[in-house]
Amino acid sequence: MTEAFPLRPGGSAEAIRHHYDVGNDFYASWLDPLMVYSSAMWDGLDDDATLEEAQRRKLIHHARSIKAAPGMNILDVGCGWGGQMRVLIEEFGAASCTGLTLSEEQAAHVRSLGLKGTTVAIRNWHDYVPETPFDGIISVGAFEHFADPSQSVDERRDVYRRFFQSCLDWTGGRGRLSLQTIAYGTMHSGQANPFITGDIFPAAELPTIEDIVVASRGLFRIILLRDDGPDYARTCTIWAQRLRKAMASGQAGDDADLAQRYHRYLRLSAAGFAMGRIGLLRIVFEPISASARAAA
Amino acid sequence: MTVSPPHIRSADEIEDWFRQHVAAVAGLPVSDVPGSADFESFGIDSIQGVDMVTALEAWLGLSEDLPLEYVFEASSISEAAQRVSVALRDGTIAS
Repeated sequence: MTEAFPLRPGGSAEAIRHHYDVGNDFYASWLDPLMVYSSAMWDGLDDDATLEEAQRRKLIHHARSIKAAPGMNILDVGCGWGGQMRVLIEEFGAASCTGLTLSEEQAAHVRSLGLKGTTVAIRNWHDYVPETPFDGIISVGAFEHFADPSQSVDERRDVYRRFFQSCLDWTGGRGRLSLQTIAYGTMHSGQANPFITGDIFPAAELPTIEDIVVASRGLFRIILLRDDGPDYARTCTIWAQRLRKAMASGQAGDDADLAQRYHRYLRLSAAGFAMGRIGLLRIVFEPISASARAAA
Repeated sequence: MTVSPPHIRSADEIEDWFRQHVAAVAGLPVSDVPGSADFESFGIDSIQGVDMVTALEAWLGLSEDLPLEYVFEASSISEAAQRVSVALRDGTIAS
């Protein structure tokens, strides 16, 4: 925690904006057309499948994981630039989607899409209370921002537990949660590089698998858990290549220092995932029924 | 006889570049950095490795990223130099 990024329950809006509000055009110059800024998924695709195909595969994975179906009302915690909500509405027939983000530029972009049935709110999940219950929840690439490095392990797990309890409450105890988050692998927090923790992702702390298991115990049953770190290594490598081309062609904007820092961080992240120092968890949670919770 | 384009460096030249770079980072004379050693033995960490590859790309005049595994998975400096040299020669990496 620093003065510039004060500790906020559930995640620092200042820290989020530091990373995500550096210009939608900048991100568009190296992300895929849906602006999906999280690991793609190559499982089940041909070896030479493109980033666009693998991002779509990932979005479909999360939609199927919560059993998305026509008429559903779905919450996306950390909705980014809206790619997941677009797939839920246009391909799975969801009646409505609500996206939460702390990034003003992401919210503006989602609103500009004019997706029918979609609402975006600049809100921290920590204070969020929906008007009607959701049928399912997806959260991709947000969990990494929920806890702060200044917090103890127990304090972080309390934040994570509150998130899982909120997910249970937001669905009336009936909806699934599909979560995707980076997590520590062979590396621990004390070994994190100051360039990443200070310059790129300030006030953010990764979870461990143990944190997630402990924090969700008794609330949700984990029905799928996979570490797709190699997927993120490949995604970051492709992003870095695209950013480099965008820098060379002038499409990455005028801020050469920003582009170079992001290029460096993407390559460093690719190496971290490839070596297993960090991992990419995809977890599907099934709520434990109220009666089973009461009996436990 | 085939003549390599001037921007394509030989494995020996690339190995010399790696040894000089590692020596500068580690504060050692180049003679103390043999090609048979691995990068990790000189304390080259992930970010130093990424920065080293970026500097190598600039020296080689490359317009695209070299695969990091050429360096991160190499068991020696010589092997990394060999992998980069082969990739440049066979066109895997465009200059």
